[in-house]
Amino acid sequence: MNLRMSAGPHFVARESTQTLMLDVIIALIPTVAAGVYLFGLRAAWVLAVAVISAVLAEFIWQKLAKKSVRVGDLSAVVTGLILGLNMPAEAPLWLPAIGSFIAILLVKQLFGGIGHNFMNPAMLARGVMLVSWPAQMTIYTLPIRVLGNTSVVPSPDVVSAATPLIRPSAYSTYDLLIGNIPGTVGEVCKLAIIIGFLYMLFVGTISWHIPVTFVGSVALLSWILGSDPLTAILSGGVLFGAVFMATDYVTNPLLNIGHLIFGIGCGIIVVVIREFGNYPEGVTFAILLMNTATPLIDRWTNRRVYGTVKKHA
Amino acid sequence: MRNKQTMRGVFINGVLNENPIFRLVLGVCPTLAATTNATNGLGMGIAATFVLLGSNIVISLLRNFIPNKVRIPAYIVVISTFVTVVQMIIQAFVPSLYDALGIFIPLIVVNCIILARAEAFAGKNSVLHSAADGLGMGVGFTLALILIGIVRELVGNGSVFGLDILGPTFQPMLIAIMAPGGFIFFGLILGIVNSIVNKAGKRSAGKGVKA
Amino acid sequence: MSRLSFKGGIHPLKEIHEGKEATKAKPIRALVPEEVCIPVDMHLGAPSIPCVKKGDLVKMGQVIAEPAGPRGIPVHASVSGEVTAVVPKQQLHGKPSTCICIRNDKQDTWVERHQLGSVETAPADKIVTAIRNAGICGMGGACFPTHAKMALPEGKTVDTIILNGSECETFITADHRLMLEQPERVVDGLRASMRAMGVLKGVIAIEENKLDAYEAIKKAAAGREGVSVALLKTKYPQGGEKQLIQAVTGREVPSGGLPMDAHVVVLNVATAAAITDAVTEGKPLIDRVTTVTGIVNEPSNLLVRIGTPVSEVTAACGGTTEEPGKMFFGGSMTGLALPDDTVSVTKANNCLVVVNKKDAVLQETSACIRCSRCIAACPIMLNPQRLNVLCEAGDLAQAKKENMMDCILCHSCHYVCPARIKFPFKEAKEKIAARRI
Repeated sequence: MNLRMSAGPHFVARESTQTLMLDVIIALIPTVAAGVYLFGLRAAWVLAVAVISAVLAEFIWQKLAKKSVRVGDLSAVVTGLILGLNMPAEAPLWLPAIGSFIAILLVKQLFGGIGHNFMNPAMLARGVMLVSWPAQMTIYTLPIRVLGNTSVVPSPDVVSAATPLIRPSAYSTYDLLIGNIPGTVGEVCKLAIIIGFLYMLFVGTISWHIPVTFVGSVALLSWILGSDPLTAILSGGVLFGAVFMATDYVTNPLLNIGHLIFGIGCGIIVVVIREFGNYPEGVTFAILLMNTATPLIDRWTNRRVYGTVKKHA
Repeated sequence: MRNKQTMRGVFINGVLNENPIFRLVLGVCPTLAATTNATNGLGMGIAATFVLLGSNIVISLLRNFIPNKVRIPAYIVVISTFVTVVQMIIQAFVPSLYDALGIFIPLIVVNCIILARAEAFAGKNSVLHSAADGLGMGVGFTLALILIGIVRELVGNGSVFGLDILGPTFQPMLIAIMAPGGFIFFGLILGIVNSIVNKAGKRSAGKGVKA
Repeated sequence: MSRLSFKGGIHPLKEIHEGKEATKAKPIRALVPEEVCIPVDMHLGAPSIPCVKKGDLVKMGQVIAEPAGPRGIPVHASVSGEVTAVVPKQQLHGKPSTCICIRNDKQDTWVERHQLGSVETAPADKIVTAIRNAGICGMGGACFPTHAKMALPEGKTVDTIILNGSECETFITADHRLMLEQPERVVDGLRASMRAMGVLKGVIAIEENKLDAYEAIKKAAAGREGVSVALLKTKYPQGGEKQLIQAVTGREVPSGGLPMDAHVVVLNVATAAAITDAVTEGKPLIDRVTTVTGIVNEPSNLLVRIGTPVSEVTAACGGTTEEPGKMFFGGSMTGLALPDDTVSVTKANNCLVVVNKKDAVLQETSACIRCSRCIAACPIMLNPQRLNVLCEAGDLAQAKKENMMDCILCHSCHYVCPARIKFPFKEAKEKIAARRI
């Protein structure tokens, strides 16, 4: 009789890295659908190029570096998808391709692959591109179709328009929520993002801590500084960043208390950049900065181990 | 032991085996600042080479007169003398380079490479060897700066030494010539050079030939 | 109804009802073995010393191995018949154990037994001795001699005895059936222990996935002095001593301490039933209820004689439906894998699970993605992610500083890990203990 000897546990949870990534992809479906509906086929192209390049970059690197090819864990798909959703629909198609290569090769694989990157790959790639090609990265156009009853006039031609962050009064709260505004493919439709958030919360992919504290602190701080808090959280990429990028496991703290600090830190930096900085939006840089603060937060936070008296950290 | 080395050996050592940028990773601050394009890299390299050569020679000459306890201040005095000379020359003859490099010319005084060579080599070796070392280190430094400068200028501006190479359709990656790009590209080139050197070292070791 | 619980923990195999569906409704039935091979080192501590030899005729309940030292316990013949061998035989792991093999004559001729009478009237000072003479040890898995647990060192006090009927491990239904079918034995055992230790409060703690057992015990406990029943949330490791104490009393066992430092002694319900037998009938621990499940044809709860080989146990359950790929004693979280099916059932084995080839395949480990599921799962509030990094880096001194030794090896972190990391905490704890870092 040939029996396998191994220590427990003899059965493990069904959840694997792959299923976690799949859940994120499922949560992104409403956002992708909304983006493609609002911005048309161009948006679909941007997303497709970003995803394919990301998977290709991962595959090529793992082949060249003679590592086991783990494209199947879907993490490259998530990175590519999030990167594509972070771009305007009118971005030239070489941009998502280069962005995906930066994200996968420079940020992820050079630091050791999945789990070892110290910044969110999609986020840093977006940061690099925003600095390198500011013009192409900010071609914000009006949606070619709109959802529901609105005063916003859709435009099938490429018409650049000011985002709500630059002209807050141009759009109603309904438009901001449903996505009848110029912006990147993924950030405009807040409703779709909220659906994705609720899905991930329901299946337990993420906890509420980071998104809620992130969005909450943006609202509170904007209100203190005299802006309308609802407009502040519905404009720009706060919601998308808080739900899909700040919650990246690898680059945020381990403990819940750390998550709270991380979320609040992101919120503060976003508002500071928006109110006092040169860029109209600061979500990318806020998340990147807090990514680098993650090891520090992990070091400063701990919890009381069962049976011990409170430790001074 | 070093005295047994030939002058040529000392020179080659500075350029390749102990290249200050790629092997010793010294003087990173001017490297990051002065490699936004190849021309700046070349200028900074030449300036630093001149200072290295001069300070190595003078410090080597004075090595038996400088009391051990105050050697660092003494070295700094010598080095800053040469830096002042270089600064004035550049200001007089190449004002565009002077504007581009700005504060980094006076900062050559505290360039780690120069102080490190004074301390590690010139203070212990003969004048000729010290001169060879200063020249070798300077050339190695210059070549490294030019390499990084070429890459950054090409990616970030589409040109090399100011000559447009990639044409008007090329969309330059601006970050390459900005500060964060300095770190990224320096890191990448450092990694590539070292992996090539390590592979070459393994190959020659495998053949039993001394590198 | 309020359900007590602890912080952290997981709900393993929730999608298949902890694997208990197959056997939870199966009444306990007895298995009469052809031959038994009884290891003399079933309990924690020094092995007992065999006092019979090949060819001896032994009666059921006869002492066949004498205790070694004051903390040791005797081993009894679980069948009557002829001793066929006293030989070393490979058991679960490590070195082979000395085993006493007896061929069953199926007469079940008992030795003379000395009973103490009812649990309420038996002389309190003689109960602990009776427990030791009956060879009773913790039947939940650890097999620590019960009389040693009851003998408190100077200066320690206990005010509560908790009977552990949580059965939080997967697949096991042995305690469930025992509590449902023989609740009086369980409650009597608690009363006997309380009287023996002079403790006024006794709590029987049961997880809510065994509501029928809870009702049965509640009925049996009604009117008994100082006995109460607590309903616990279905969660793993609810039955870990530290977690059970936290859930029932709200106290915490101090780091590095024992349950008695929280003034509690925890006993398994099966142990309590064995104590009842020892006191009222003078019957030593020679059989126990064991759940047999997995890919056997008839998953069952068997009353198995101690020392019955696994091959006879699986045969009694109609054999396996396909070729087994793995077998383990206990639940799937902490169960111990068997090298083959000649291994004997011991006093600690509450469950035998047979797994097919497909489920026996180990999943490949990938890189940690810092999802912090292990941190949420840890019932001790440790940081398994960080401890794993420290163990991999070989920095055991730092791991010890970060409370490595408080790990109870419940494997919750391993269970939930999406990267399938095999947290090496058992080895780390052993190394730290051995090197005295």
